[in-house]
Amino acid sequence: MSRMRCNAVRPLIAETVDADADERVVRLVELHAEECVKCRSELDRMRAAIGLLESLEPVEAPADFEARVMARVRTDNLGGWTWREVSDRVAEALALRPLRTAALVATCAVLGVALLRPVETSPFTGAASRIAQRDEPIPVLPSEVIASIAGPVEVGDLAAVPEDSALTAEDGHLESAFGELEARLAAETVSLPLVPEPLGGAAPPAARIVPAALDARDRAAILETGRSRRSF
Amino acid sequence: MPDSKRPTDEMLMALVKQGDHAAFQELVSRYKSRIIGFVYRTVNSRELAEDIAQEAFLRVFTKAHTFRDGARFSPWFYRIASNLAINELRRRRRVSFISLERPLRTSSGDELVRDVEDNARGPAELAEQHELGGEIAKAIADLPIKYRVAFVLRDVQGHSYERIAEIVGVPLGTIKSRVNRARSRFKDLMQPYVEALG
Ligand SMILES: [Zn+2]
Repeated sequence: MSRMRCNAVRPLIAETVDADADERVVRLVELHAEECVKCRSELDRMRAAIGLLESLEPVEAPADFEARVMARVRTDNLGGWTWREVSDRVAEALALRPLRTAALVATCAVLGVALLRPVETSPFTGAASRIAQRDEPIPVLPSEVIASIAGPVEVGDLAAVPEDSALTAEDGHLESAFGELEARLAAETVSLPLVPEPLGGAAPPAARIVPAALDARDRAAILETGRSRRSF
Repeated sequence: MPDSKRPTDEMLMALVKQGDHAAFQELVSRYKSRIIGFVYRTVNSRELAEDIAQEAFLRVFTKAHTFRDGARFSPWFYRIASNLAINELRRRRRVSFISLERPLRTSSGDELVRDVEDNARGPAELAEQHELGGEIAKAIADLPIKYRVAFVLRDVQGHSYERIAEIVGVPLGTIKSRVNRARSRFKDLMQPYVEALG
């Protein structure tokens, strides 16, 4: 066979293994392959390789998957930020302006999440650093709880909260972790300034978590990085 | 078999837009295995695939208002999942502190035992098959991400080229070209196994 014909046939070989392959193309390639050992070999190897895909086991969702998704939909405030987003945002803000670290870390402790990344450099370990990597929305205090809480957050108050507060969430038990945080907040009448953030224009106001302990420039930096990352 | 009493995905989405949990759950039920399968073959980690699939479903709920009237659900949803998977792979490459090379997880041990009984296959044969599955998964994971997504959607999941073009958002011809390139690359990567199998 001439090299010309091989060059014309080779690109067609991949098409012949398609589920809806054009029969004319298949015939064309096979005709050539009958007389060309090299193209015959290529065709056989292609068929064998693609044939192996048949041996892949079909993937089944785990039995509890549906329940897990539904639990998230029911309990999460889905307009809120995810743990990872807040974590990234604060890490970026810190990189921009490495001040007020103590206030931030204290605030993070109250939020129950390690906000500094990458993980290796995080002051938090274990559950906290794992939570910080989660793409799960952070549950938000119900509005009646927010309404019942008075007074802005003082840095001193936040620092007084043990660092491991609400850091007990293991293996996705965010709800219980947050429940604990909620209870603590209610008990200590400390408020997190949860500022509503409309998502996509249509969602109901949800919490944008920007600790009040930050000064205006920190807040602006966080909100700014948030905006730039918010597109989907 | 078409069931006239079965609401279409798009009918369900109209309810999901209103915040309807039951309609949303029906979509989760319909798509969960397919979407986990697609993401699993793309990222080659079962655990990560389930996380991404879960996130994709939650986006369906939170982003329902962005679903256009008259659009089809399936490509829209696959696009969400595909974007999440690609972003996660890029993020991990950037951060590169988590290995994607996790062991392939097969079905539960119980099922494996049942397989042995039902088909009278020996453990060695099963192990071999498992190993082959892992090699296939690794070869797919070695494909460039653009080729990989098209290849998985077409040759593993059997979507039409038209739908894949819609999911990925590129022209039909580009998708066909990516799938063909992926096949050639995959063929080369699997050559040692093809030869070993005779
Ligand atoms: Zn030839």
